[in-house]
Amino acid sequence: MSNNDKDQLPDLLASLKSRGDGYRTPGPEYFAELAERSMAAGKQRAVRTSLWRWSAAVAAGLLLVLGLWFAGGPATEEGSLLANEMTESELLLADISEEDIDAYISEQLYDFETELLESAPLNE
Amino acid sequence: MQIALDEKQLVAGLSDARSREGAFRTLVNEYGPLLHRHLLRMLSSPADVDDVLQNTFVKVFRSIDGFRGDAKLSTWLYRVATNEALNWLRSKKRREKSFTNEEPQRLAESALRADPYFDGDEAQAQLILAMKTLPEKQRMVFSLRYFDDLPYREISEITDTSEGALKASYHLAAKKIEEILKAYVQQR
Repeated sequence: MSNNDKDQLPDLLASLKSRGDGYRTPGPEYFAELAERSMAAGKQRAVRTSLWRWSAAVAAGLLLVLGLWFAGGPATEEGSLLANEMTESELLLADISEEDIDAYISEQLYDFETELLESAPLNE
Repeated sequence: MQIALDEKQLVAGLSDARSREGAFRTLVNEYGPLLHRHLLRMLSSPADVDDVLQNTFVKVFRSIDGFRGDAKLSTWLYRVATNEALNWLRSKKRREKSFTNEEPQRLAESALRADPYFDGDEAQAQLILAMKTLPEKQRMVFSLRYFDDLPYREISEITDTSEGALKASYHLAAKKIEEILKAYVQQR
């Protein structure tokens, strides 16, 4: 810390500063185990990514078949609107990378859990 | 902060697929204790700290290729851990709002008394409890500055906040904590 970066602390806080926070650090085995768990969880992403790839391919195929079916059917206004929507959904899906989908789910995981818990009746 | 190893060497090890796992173990061993303490001060239970610390290192492991070395490694690690902690606190607050009626200060006190990592004396306990009354971001700024002695420039990189705003936040936090501590001393 540079000299001009020093703070003027109130008396009690200034006297307590050198004593630290009172927490102790776990032993090295805790961090060794943490490293292994983190690496194992970090590698799982590759498996999840390929699952996403397969799911996306199947969903895109289904959308394509449905799109073709609607396009080839009676040329009603409703039918062509639906076909256009399908194409737009496909385009939107193609614009989102698997990493983004993965990151979104990881970030929102607790929100999903909270929303589920909040919407569930208490006696369920 | 006492990190003995050469940061450049460690980053080089992490960037190379052949040495990545070994370098990652070193990283967790060297920087884990620093982040563990930071999270203990930010969160309310050691179980939360375990989860958030693991989430932090999982993210670090997955995105180590994206670390270009523009900032210090410790700054980047603090940044990831701090974001994880703030997200965790936000979602926990929503959950507790729905399911808990207990007073937050009583919850914090009983959690600290039961915390196996806390072996401080009464003054340290009161300091931690006073700190936990602060809003999350202010608590984080106070913790990084008061306990970890980080310069404002580095805290600014961690939090994406201007140094001026950090100084104001820190002084306000120090004033609030001092008042709580004084009130405690007078009550005894």
